[in-house]
Amino acid sequence: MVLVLALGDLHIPHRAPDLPAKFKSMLVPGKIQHIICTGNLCIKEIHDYLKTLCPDLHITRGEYDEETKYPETKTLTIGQFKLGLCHGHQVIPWGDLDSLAMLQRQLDVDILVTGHTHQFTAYKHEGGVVINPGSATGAYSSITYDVNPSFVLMDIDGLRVVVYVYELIDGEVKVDKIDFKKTSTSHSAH
Amino acid sequence: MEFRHRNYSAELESHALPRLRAGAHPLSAPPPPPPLSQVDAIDCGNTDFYDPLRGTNNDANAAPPDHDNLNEAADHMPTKEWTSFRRLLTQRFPVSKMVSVASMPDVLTRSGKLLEKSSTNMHLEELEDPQKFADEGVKTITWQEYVSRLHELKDEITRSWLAEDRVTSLKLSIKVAKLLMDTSVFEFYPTLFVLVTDIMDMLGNLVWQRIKRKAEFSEDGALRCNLAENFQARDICADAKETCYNWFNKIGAVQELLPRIYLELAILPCWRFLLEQPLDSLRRLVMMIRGLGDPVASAYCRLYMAHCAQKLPSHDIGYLVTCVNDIRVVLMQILSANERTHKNVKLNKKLQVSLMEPTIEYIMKCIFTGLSQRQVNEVLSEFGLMKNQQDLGSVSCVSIILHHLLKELPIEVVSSNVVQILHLIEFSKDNSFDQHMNYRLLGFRLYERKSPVDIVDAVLDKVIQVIALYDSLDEYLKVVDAYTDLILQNQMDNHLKIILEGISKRTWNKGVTEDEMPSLQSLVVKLLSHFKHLEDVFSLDQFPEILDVMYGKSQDVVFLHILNMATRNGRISDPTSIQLLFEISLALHNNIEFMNMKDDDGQVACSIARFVHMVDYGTEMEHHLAFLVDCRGAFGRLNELKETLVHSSNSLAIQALKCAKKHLNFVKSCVTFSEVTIPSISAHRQFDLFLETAEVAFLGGLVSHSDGLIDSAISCLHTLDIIDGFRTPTDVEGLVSSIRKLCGFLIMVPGCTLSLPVTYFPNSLFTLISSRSWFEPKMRAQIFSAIILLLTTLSQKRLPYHANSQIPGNDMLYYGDSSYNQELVSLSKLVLENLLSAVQQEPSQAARGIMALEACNCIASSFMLSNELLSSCLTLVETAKSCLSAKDRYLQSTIQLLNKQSPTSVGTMVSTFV
Repeated sequence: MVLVLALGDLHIPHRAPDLPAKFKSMLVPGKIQHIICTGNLCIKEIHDYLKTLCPDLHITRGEYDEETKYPETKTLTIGQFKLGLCHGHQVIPWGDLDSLAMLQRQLDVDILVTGHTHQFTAYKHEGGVVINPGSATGAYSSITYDVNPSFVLMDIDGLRVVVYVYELIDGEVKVDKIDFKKTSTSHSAH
Repeated sequence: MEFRHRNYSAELESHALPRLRAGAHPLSAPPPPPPLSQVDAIDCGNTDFYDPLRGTNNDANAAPPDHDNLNEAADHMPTKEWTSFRRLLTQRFPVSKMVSVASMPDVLTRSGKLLEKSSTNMHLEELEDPQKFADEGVKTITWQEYVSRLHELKDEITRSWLAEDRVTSLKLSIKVAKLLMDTSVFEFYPTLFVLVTDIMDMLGNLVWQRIKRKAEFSEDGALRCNLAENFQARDICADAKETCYNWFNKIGAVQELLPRIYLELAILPCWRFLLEQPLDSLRRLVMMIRGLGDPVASAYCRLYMAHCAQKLPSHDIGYLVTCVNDIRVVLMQILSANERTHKNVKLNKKLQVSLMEPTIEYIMKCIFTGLSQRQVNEVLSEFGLMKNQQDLGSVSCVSIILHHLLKELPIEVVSSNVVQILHLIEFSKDNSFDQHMNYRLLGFRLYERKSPVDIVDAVLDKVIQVIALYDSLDEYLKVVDAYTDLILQNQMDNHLKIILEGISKRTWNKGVTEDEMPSLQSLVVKLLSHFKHLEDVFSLDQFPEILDVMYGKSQDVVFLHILNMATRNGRISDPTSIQLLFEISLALHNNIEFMNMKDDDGQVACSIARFVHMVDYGTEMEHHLAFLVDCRGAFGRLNELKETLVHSSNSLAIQALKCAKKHLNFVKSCVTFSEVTIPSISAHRQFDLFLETAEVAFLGGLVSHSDGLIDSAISCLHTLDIIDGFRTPTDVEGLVSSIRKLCGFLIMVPGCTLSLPVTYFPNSLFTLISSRSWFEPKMRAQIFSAIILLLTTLSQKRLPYHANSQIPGNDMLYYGDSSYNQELVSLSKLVLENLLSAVQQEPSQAARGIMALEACNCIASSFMLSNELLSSCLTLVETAKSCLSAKDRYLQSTIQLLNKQSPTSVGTMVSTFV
């Protein structure tokens, strides 16, 4: 069992003062083994805060990140899964399944994590799974200002992943889960 | 050419992964932790030799001490401590270029130049001493020459020893030791001590090794025995004993007392070869040192003894206590000496005490290292300090000795004897050390560990009585600074009130000097660090007054502290606080500008920006926007801040949109504020900010504003090529990324104006990219792909997203309009031609392969694959194959995509090709 925290689009302090207190009380050091962050943290203090939760921190660059050295895309392997990371503002149209599949082919990953729309989504297509953890602070996005804060926790165990979705709705944290397995057809020999 | 038909909502629905409510999850709240118990601060041994509580009495800039970790037995002062101490000793007493010596020993003249006497080289003191001036023996030498000569002597001693001419080695060593008889070198004496004892230690080691070898090997070289680390005198053969005895006899025959003592100390460990109790020698040596009349020379001799004694296997600190007591006697003689009419005597006295202080410091540290509780009490008895209650009136101590004693005492002893210590400080008022610095030290020591409230209270009552009589703000601050943490920790509001009144009164009388400002800063920062909320600090009666008298760098430090404190606690809503913090920010900003200072680490700009972000006027949004306008006027030169203002203004607009009551005019004002502010920000940041503002305007339904902002963003790109700095790969990658984001945004933007074609913005982008030579093929290809994807999306019957339900997208405006579709197709063809061309222009083979696949994916995702387009794709695949490995997974998945997308009529061709 490996816990991977996926979150992004915090936009602190530009659009939100801080992470929601209820999220912060749940995110304590020592529980999470990896953090993948799609970007738009935007300042160093948030990077340092995430480092305190978990030293293994992977970040891609959002358009408002002060740190311009974050890469546009990143791949890492956790257990049997290859994960890809990208902020998503570069994907046209934003959040489109075909365009994300294009990116997934390029990165050659089982799970692609992107953001930018500030809405949680999880899709499965022939190339793999695409997950958007949403905005951890509920900051307004390019499309809407009505955003519920959310983040994702992936529990990776062998060939199985349980994706927990944490959403703050009307002041209460709701937790849903999605279960899926890696299939051999993900990488067909040609 | 025909666009692929997409149904975005249907696709998302069919591919969405189902969600189930999770009963348990990995981040469930853990059980509440046990309540935190009071944790005492660890009483770590203080290994610093430099006293941070005070500067030196001279103008020396003392360097901070090395913090070497103690990795040897705690009851020994390891060699590195001595090395560290020696280095500090030379640093504390910088040497003037010329050293005046009472006489020029022949040992220094072997190669040194003998300089003629001249008035410019004389010390002031000597000019006032006619008798000494008349002495023909007064000479001068540069200290570099002095040091250089000593190094030569060291080498000479070594060479003689290696040549088995030990008589010469000894004679030269005696002459070296004699140099320490001349204390008229004043500030040079500590350095001289370091140099001479280095040679003494070397000689001592040589003698030790020689005798040890005699003890272990016979005359013919056969091994006699291996001496254990803890060998006894009875283990030593007669031959070795005789050699050892001869050395002590030779040294004992030295006529002058001081070199005789130094040389015996140098070979002190060798007594182990002769005596079962080598420590007995120390008691004799202590008595001998009393025969040294000069206070400085005798003090440093005691210092060397403390060092050498540590080489003995067993320890007894009795002799060290005697040393301190003897130094105290000498100090009392110095301090009680009647002042003559000449001022130089007073200066000389102060210099003597200053020179002697490091010796007290080191010896005191040796005494207390590794001492048990019972032993501490014995030491204090030996010092004659802890007598019974009725005799307290007669107990006193030289203040500088008391200082170093207080510095080294274990904290438990300090806490349990605090009344006696206060008494000692009160009655040890002499010129050797400033009394207020001892009160200060006591405060710092009490804070090392949680002290009982009644003890702290008693101490504070006494100390406050004492300092109430101080006229000097400097002394007052030095003391209260040490007690502030204790007062705050124990929530002693009354004491806090008293000391703040005391400070305020003394600042009101005479103002604050530059020297006093750091102490005031330290105290204010402690107050700010203690209270959680700014209002709590400013509610203290005298705090605003104290803040008013601050200036310069200390004021800036305090102001930054206030800013960071305010922003640390989250939103700032109180109008009074906002106004105060604005004025503080203005002062910080103006100080940078006025002093032409560089805000080197961007700390000031960052703190002010953080403050602006945290300001929250709640529903008073007009006031908030007015605040932002004031900030723009006040902090115009801070680039980081202007970016903050744009973000804040945009957030304010969003806030207004969420609040249904707010009129659209306010949103326009916010957007206009951003629009006006952005051009003054550095060019490479403007694009993203224009884009953010355009998004906000669009969310607010301000289509024409949004169009204008998009135009401004694209115009930014026109100016970028004249900026030389904007050429790093990271910058370029970020720019391409932002342009792609613009394409994603343009999907929502209606082409509704009658005077402009619907493809105005995509066409502007295309024209710009095509005309700029500095756009590399890779950049061009990525942007051209983005434009194609944009045009494809615009061609769909239903767009994938809308930002504002009241703004119709092009899917509604041009539904079924064939000329609209033709326009999209026309531009797509043009862009596609350029895309294919850009791929072929890429010089790097590996990059070209990846670009070919990206272009191929773009085409396959965007268009129905006609024969013509399929042919283009196959050409691209061929390019990729020639550049990449056949096993490249991206290549394989792209071919797979082509097979899937191709019409059945051309399926055979693809299969055959693959």
